[in-house]
Amino acid sequence: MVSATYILDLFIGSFVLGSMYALLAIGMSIIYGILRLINFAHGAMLMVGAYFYIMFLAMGLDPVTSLPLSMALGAVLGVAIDFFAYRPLRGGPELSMLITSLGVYIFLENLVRIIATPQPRVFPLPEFLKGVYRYGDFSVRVIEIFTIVSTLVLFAALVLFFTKTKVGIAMRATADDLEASVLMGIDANRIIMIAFALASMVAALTGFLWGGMYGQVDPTTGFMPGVKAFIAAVVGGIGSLTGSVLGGYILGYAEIYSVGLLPPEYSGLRDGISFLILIIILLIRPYGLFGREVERV
Amino acid sequence: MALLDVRELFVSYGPLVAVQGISFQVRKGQVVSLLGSNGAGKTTTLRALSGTINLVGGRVTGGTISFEGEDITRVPPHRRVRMGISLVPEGRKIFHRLTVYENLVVGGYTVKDLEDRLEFVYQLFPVLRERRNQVAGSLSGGEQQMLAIARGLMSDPKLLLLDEPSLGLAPRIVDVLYDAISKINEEGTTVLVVEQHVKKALTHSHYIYVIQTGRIIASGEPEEVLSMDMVKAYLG
Repeated sequence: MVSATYILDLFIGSFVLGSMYALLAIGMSIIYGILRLINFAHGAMLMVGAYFYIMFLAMGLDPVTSLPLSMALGAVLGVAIDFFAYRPLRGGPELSMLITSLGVYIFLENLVRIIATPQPRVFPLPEFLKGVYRYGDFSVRVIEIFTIVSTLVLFAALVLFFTKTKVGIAMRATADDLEASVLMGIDANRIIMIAFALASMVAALTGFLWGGMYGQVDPTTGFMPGVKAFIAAVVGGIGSLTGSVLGGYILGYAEIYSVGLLPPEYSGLRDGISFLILIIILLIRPYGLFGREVERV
Repeated sequence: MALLDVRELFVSYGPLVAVQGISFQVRKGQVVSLLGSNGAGKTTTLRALSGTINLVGGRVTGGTISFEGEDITRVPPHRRVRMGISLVPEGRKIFHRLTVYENLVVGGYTVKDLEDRLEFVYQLFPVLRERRNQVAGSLSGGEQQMLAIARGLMSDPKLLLLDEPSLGLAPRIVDVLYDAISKINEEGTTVLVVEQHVKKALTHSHYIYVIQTGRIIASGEPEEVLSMDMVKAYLG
């Protein structure tokens, strides 16, 4: 018999996992919207972000400084990757960029393997995120609350950015029609830079949350979250911010509840379930829940 | 000195030479029309002027484009907008998913005082003020063309380039648009318009160039050009 507390635990667990998928999916969606690039390297940015945080701690900085610094460095790395790997391919076939992004993923994973060794590293959570709240049988970790709240705050901030600021509106315009946005005096390269900086910064934050939740990171940490975020973005309708967040939560809930409620011997199916959802949704709505037919040829 | 001075311009898409050494001038304060049938090279010429030719796989292979005496042939497109050139492209290319207001905000990306420009375009096309919170993709064809022109005016251009503004629109709407174009011109904006619509060009321009398969075949004042037998034969 399943207890109410257990269901509540699953609910919180789903919310947390969904939040992290949502954060990554937002980044993928922002980049896809403007470049029509499915950036496979995005998962690696999560892993690298977590390592940046560990690196700053090792340099003797305190956690409250290390987190924003790791996000800033993530943003710089994202912009650099765009500059060296993707920009030279712009105007060429979209497939070239897609394959390059796979290459960038492999490059980053192996680079970290060389620099930081393939061994998993303990991810030290700052003291103020270590606590646990208990209410009878039910308990919730502070890092879980932090993950959920920071995702919702970030989502609200991004919505405001994309609807209320001139640069944000210009980014949506560029995603809608790149040629027309250039005709408005918008420097497309600058907009793409901002997109990579934003997406990579959010990925680095996700890396911190991921490390904090699971207590360790290794060079392959980013792979599965990257794949899941891709699925979340596609399920929600890639290019749509709201869709990506919703897709992230759908995946998070499906995964945790299926593992939590199915008999233990089926728990190995959790990744398969994500793909099953992807296939079902794409059969019903080929452009995702919030997606629109892409009219560009 | 002409505001815009195009000399011996060649534009190619790969091996295809779409514009073959055309030269023309646009004087400050005028409305100039570039007439020609489908495939004559009109849109290609405008893309070369706005600098977006590279985005569609084309390239300027010869000649120069000067704006206010400065050679802009190699200036990137977004900087040309800041210099005062604005193109309202073929097929309007409004931002379908943005609201009317957001379209205009993006149009004014390069200007400081948005409110002033907004007031100007709302007065020109009052229907846009009524529909400012509507998603642009839901507007009618005529309203979309008005929005495209209004958006192009938001950057406060010295030279407005219009690519077939009358295409596919009802005659009544075309009248409204051309009245607006005349008003824009009276306010001091120079206009270069590409058209197939010969009558409108005749009544609304100061000067006309006729282009055929990438070459200018005739030019002059409207009555003068349209009385030439070869032009009549070509444009019908």
